[in-house]
Amino acid sequence: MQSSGIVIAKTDEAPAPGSSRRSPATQNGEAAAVSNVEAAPVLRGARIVVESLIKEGVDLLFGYPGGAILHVYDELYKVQDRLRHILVRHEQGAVHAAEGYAQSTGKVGVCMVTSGPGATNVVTGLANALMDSTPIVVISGQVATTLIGNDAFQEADIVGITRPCTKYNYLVKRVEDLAPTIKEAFYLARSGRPGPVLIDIPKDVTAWECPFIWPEKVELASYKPTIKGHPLQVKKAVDLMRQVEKAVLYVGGGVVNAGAHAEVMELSRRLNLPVTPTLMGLGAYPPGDPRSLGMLGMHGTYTANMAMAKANLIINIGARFDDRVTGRVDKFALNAKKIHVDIDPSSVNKTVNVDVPIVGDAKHVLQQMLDMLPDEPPPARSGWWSELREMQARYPLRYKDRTDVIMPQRFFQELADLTKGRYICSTDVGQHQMWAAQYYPVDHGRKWLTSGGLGTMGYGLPAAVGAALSGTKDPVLCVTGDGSFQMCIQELATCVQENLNLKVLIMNNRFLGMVRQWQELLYDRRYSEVGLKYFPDFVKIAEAYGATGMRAEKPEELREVLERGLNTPGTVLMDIIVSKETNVYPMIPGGAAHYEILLGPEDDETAQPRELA
Amino acid sequence: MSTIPTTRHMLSILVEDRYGELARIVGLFSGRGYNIDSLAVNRSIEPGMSRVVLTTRGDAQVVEQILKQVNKLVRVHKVRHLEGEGHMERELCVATVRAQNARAREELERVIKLTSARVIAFSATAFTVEVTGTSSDVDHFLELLRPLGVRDMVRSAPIALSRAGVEHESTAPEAALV
Repeated sequence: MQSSGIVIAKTDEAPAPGSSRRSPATQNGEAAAVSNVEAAPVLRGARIVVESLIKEGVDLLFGYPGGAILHVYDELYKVQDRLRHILVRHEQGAVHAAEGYAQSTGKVGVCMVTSGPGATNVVTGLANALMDSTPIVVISGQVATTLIGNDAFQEADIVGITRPCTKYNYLVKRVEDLAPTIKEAFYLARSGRPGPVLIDIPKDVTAWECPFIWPEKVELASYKPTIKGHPLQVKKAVDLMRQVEKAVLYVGGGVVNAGAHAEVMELSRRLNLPVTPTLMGLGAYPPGDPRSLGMLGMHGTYTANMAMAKANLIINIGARFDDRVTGRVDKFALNAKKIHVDIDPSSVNKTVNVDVPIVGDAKHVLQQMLDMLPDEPPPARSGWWSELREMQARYPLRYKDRTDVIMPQRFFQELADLTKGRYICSTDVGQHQMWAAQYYPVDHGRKWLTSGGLGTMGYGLPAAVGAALSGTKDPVLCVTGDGSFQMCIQELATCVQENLNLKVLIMNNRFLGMVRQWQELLYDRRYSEVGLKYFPDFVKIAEAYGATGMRAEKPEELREVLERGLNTPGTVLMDIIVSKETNVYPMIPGGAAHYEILLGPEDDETAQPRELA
Repeated sequence: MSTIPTTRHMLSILVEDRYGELARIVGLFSGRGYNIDSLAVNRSIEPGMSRVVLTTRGDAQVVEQILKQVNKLVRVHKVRHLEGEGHMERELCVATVRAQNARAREELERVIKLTSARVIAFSATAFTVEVTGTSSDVDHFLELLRPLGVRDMVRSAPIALSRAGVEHESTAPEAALV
């Protein structure tokens, strides 16, 4: 639909002899004030878009063409050697690929789509990037300025639609504004708390001409992210960390975004602090380190959650007291003083009141803390550590393995064992995501791509596409479920087209497993629309797309299929048939307090603090 | 949630006069479930900037969150929480009253004198009067008019200005947090 019915605005037509092709504003002499005009080359808007992207250092973008963005695609055709465009199969794939690229590289991901349906299809990705603070810039075509508001073909008020799900967005009405807008958009996307920015460009603006002047700097008087923490607040935090024995370091996606892995490690070492990462913070701290308590939250480890409940001091670095971590807010960490380091002031005191708020960049603030720490041996915290060690010994992550069927946890353990967490791993959303988070030992933050805040099924495969194009030499893993995978299944074509070294691992339980789990536990096993009664043969689908497909159905096949799949070049799909009705534990049910942890059937029934809300 | 008593808060926002910026502010309130009781927007003393004065309701935590969210908007230059006696507030009200007989007209005259309202239009059977004051001044004015028979009434959103030297600022995030 996107490629049919091209709208040609009057202003797109070849100009009458003697008339100017500049935007009406320029003809009125408004741009005359711009200096250096004569030296700058006069370019068409579409070319300015492309040259601006190149000036920003973009060498790769994901997109899908259509009528309103055709001029820009024509320019992309001419600069293929400098700017590579990856054609996806659905705009949602393009935006998630841009996110995956951004999350795995730390650079701004770029996505280009046409007007109307092309642009509305990126809304999910924008909302996803906003929640997970991922820097992306989306360029969308728009109908010509003369047609805006006329209900023109493929017109949608995309600036209106995306206003609440972008960090900022623009409708560019003058060709002279293109270059400065693009410069500013990239700056906004990557600075402060990163996020998605959308630039909507009407078709006639891409046809008009003006001198191409690339601004060297962005001046935004009203936008000045705070980078350095307030020294007095940092001092207060340092004093607390040294004084309070039962303390825990709670690290989130902000640490990954700031690249503060080393600083977190150093702080934990010098203060002998236990560390628990959130879902978005996985990889911010090495999971194999003895001071790591494992993941926090609804399906986090028993010890991590209880450490938060029992602590007298919580040091939150770049996390946001998400409801999946706090449980019932009025029962959250009542004994703990709280330090909160966040670059976004509006994250502070939003859901949980904190004692020491510090607005600033995680890396800077951590460094400030380290600088203030006196040169002294790390505190022993022996009582606290023995309490934690006891919990770890009593309630490790565990499950009962079976010989007749592949247990999902077994699958993730084998995968962890084979890869050692070295490869970039993207996930979709659901049970497989939680097991992957529990068992896949992500060794660096930028190797873990997941939809945390929005929980977007369909994110995994396109995000892996973005990561596979990030320059990594290793295979990229996409761990998904039989439900999620079918939400962006079409991107298999992109994988094969680009010959990506990408391994799709479907944890196939023939259920929308996480919803089923909730229905089992909270709705008396009334399985409402969670059984996928029909599901396709994923191996044949892989083959139909030109990828390699393989399947493991029995426990004895699992290791062999994983080894063979990981070692087969190109795009490989492994369909792993697992136990149908296994639940993810531990679990803090929705609405429960964060210490009301539901443990699995393997754990000692009498010892369970089982209290359902 | 609705049972928690909440107080009125007045915010004064300085924002760039650009396409869509007002929608961003208003959308922030609706999107996060806050209500705007009144809204006034016009040019400000600074060229290219609009002044938005709005009133909303909420407890201290809600207002802190609103201030931070508004402050986070890229084109918002300043947010001020106008509290207590630190600001002058004015609202305009225009009302048409019947006042059909001499007694009613006499009563109207008395109300006008009392409230410093003034007549801005009249006919044989009706008078249109205007008054400015705080929101509660206007409330009282309308109370007084009611017995005369108010035919129609329109109120502007209140606007307000800080008294010089006693500003209650809530702008820089660090300042608010220390």
